[in-house]
Amino acid sequence: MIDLSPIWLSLKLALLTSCLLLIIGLPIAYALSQWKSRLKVVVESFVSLPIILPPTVIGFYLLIMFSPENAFGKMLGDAGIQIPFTFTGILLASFIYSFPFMVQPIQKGIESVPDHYKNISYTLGKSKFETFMRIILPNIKRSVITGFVLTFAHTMGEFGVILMIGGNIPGETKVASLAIYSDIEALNYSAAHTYSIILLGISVVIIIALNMLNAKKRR
Amino acid sequence: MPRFILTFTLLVVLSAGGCSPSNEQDKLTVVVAASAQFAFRDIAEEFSKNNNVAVDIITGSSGKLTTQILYGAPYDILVSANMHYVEVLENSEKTHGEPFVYGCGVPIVWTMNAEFDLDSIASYFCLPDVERIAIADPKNAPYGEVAVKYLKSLGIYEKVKGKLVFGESISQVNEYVLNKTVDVGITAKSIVASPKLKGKGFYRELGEDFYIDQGMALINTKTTHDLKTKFKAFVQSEEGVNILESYGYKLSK
Repeated sequence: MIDLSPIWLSLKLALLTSCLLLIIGLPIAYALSQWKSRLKVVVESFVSLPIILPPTVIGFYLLIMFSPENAFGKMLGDAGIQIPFTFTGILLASFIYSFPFMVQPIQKGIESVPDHYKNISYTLGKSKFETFMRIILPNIKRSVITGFVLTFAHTMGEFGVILMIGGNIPGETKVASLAIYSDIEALNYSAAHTYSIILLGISVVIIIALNMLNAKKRR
Repeated sequence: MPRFILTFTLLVVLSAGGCSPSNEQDKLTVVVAASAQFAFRDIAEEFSKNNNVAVDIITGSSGKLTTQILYGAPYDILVSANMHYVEVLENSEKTHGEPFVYGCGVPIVWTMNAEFDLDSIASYFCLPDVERIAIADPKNAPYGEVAVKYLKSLGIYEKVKGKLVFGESISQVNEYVLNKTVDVGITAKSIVASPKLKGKGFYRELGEDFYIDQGMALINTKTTHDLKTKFKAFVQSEEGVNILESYGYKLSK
């Protein structure tokens, strides 16, 4: 029987990343959608940067940034916060790496809600927050779920970033994709196959769920 | 929507509880160069049986593992494939005590092709039929460095340069050779001597000039030095030496 902890670790990482990004991504996506400035294009480009940047670059700079060898990393270390080679570290890395996958669909969703919906709500004396919670959010439900599922799936398949900053430590940073990598390196092809098939199964379920969701939307 | 979020949060909490190994027993994290992985998995297994300690083995190229230690990775012991990296760690004051040589690594030419004339490697490498030769990345992997040195000593480096494929560590070289993605590779005897691969393919040693002193270093970490020293003693004990020799390492008397 193979060790299933890397699968659990991947699931835990993906869920935590998705939840954190949902909480933080919602207000950011809202702010971006309401913002009207020429600088908006620049900020939006930065948001989508993780899609284009090679994961190793992200991992490399995170490693340097949080290394105990420099002032910032040392300060964190003294405060008892360890980033490189810890679960917190790969959570932070996944957060940055998947950022656009959450923010972009939600922002697009908010932008597609007709302006007069919220204008009516405002004229009825509702606050911005209440309008967001009761008018906008219910209208972009599918975009939010899409963002959540995409983030989840993206994190499940994450490899390069975690390899750089995680260090492949069992139970801490050895997620499923790294376990597959190690087992191939150790020529344990059967274990690598098992992990791969489990990941494949999870991915298929996610994609089907996402497509079903979109099909429902079109109807 | 709130129900959806609630369900997921619950799942997270459940899964978080389900997979953190919270038992704080003694544990050693040993990082091992790809070439030594099979030998040290055996050694770790024996050691953990004798001492009732869990030993985690993590493998990679010596260079990558060293970089990670320099950036604060919580690795207790580095088993490198040469002396260079353990010396780098010693110079950066990352080590506990002096690094030491645990054996001599034997580089080999390895192929799955029965037609390979191992007596005339130089001319074989230059044949047009031989399209791909795998070596480990000479920048990170000692066996890759030696492979380049070897090809240069044969005077064929410039000629075969275009055929070279670089593996991240010799693990990748082994995969390439084993799956016949390449015609031939330069790797470590400790790989083909492992029970898993014994008798697979054909190999020839590069010769004594290319032996690599294999270095090991105890790293300054939170784990008790006692445990690390015990592991070192086990590697140097008769039992440890026997395991190393069975994997093709040469040990100086």
